[in-house]
Amino acid sequence: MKEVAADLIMFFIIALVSIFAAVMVMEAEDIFHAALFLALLFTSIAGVYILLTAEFIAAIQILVYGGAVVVLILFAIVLTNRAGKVGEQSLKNLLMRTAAIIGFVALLVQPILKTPWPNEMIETTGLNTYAVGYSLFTDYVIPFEVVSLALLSALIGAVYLSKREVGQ
Amino acid sequence: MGLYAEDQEQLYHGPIPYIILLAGAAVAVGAIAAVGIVFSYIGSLGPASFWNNPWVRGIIGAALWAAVVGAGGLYLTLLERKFMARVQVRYGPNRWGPYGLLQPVADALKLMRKEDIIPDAADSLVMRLAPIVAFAPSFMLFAAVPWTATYVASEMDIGVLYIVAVTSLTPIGVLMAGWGPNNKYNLLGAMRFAAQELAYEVPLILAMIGPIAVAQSLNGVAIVEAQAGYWFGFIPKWNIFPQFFGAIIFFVAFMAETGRIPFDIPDAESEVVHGFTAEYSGMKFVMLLLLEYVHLIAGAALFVVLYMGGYLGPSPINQFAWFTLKLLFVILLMMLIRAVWFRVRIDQIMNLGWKILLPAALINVGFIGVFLALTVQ
Repeated sequence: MKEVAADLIMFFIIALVSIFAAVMVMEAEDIFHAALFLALLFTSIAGVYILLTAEFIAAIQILVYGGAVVVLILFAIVLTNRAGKVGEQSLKNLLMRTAAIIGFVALLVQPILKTPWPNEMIETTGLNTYAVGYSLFTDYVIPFEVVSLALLSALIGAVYLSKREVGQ
Repeated sequence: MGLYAEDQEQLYHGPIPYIILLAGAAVAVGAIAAVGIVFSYIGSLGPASFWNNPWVRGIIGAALWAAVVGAGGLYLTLLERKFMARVQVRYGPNRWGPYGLLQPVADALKLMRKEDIIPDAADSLVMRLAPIVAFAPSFMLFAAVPWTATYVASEMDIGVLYIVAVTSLTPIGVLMAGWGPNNKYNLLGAMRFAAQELAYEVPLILAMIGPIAVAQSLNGVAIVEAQAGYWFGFIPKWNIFPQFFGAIIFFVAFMAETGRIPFDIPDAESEVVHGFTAEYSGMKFVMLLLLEYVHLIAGAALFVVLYMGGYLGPSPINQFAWFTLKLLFVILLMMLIRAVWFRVRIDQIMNLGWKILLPAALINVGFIGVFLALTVQ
């Protein structure tokens, strides 16, 4: 019981941090700050994965999103001129944004209420990494290969496009 | 000799400083070993559940690493300067204290008293946070490095993957240090650092796959234990012997990640006036500077765990001492390379990373996979 309470406290801390970060990604006036809050968001979501005892997913989340994706975004921002701060938002913009958020939340209400959330704790074996690797190369081997092919084609496409620009 | 014979006598102290430094290192190793013995004695007294408590383990392990990285980083600078001076037939620091042994203390005092300058046009918050964001992940990764079979700050299933994941956060801090002060040299240095880090992270991770596949585990202790035993009775079963190419790829890649001399384009003084540290002063500068040494210790520790059998060794010396001795050996090797090599150009670094190391690492992984598939059941 004591451990459940500790989990709950940790969850609320992580949830607060990630919600704060997610809001700040949109609200930050400087685009560089927004990218840094994105990094905070990704790392705090890794905390949620650790609470769910999915350490492997948590490490991959930090490695891929916190490390690679955010660094690439920051790198791209650094290459630009300092755009300065975003100006005042117009009223129309604000209203449209509010409407979009309300619409999205309304879409989510139904699935959240319909899903039967399990109440009991799920037993973990402590062999998560093994389980992930095993199912990746047995049950899900074809989707896995298809995804890697898709990534490879995206990579080749990116190289092709950037090469052609240099040639012209 | 000859021209300044009198100065020579005064400035060059012969082998004594090196003997003192190495003896100091040996004493440090001995002290760490003694701490290990005391801990294992206390551990045998109390209930095992107490020592398996993550809080107790975490705090003791983190304190050990903090002591080693803190004190070690400070005196590593002196050892490096003396060692490099010896290799390059110079004197090295020799004014402060006996044989120049107080030089790091003087440096630290000087840097601590410096004014902390934040430029007007700087993004003040980003600039202030950058050294912390860059430094903290490099410290966090020590949590998963196994000192001995039992003394790991946090023994986790995904140990090595955790180390890689945490290391990948460092470029964010460095890019913040590049962007915050609004200085073009900071920016150029940070971009060079990030480009280099991204390029060499891929071969680094691929070179880790070899030892991981042999041990069939991501746990640091399991990887070390998989290297126990001897071939022909005297060659230790370290991964460095069968996976020699993997070890070389890993070594080169982590040297590039530390950004030290053969690969020090992020802070090349003659090109970008010390890169992303250009606008920093005082303790913030120290933190960004020590980043290099923390990376050095971390990379050497990982190399020892993955390829040199970690804490394993003949029993007269205890496991703490074996680990520290191997660590010192790898660090001295890197210092030797720094002393005799020159800086390579940025295009050469990118070519080496993407066109040579990456394919070599992929081929290495393929070979190891085939070999393991043929031999393991």
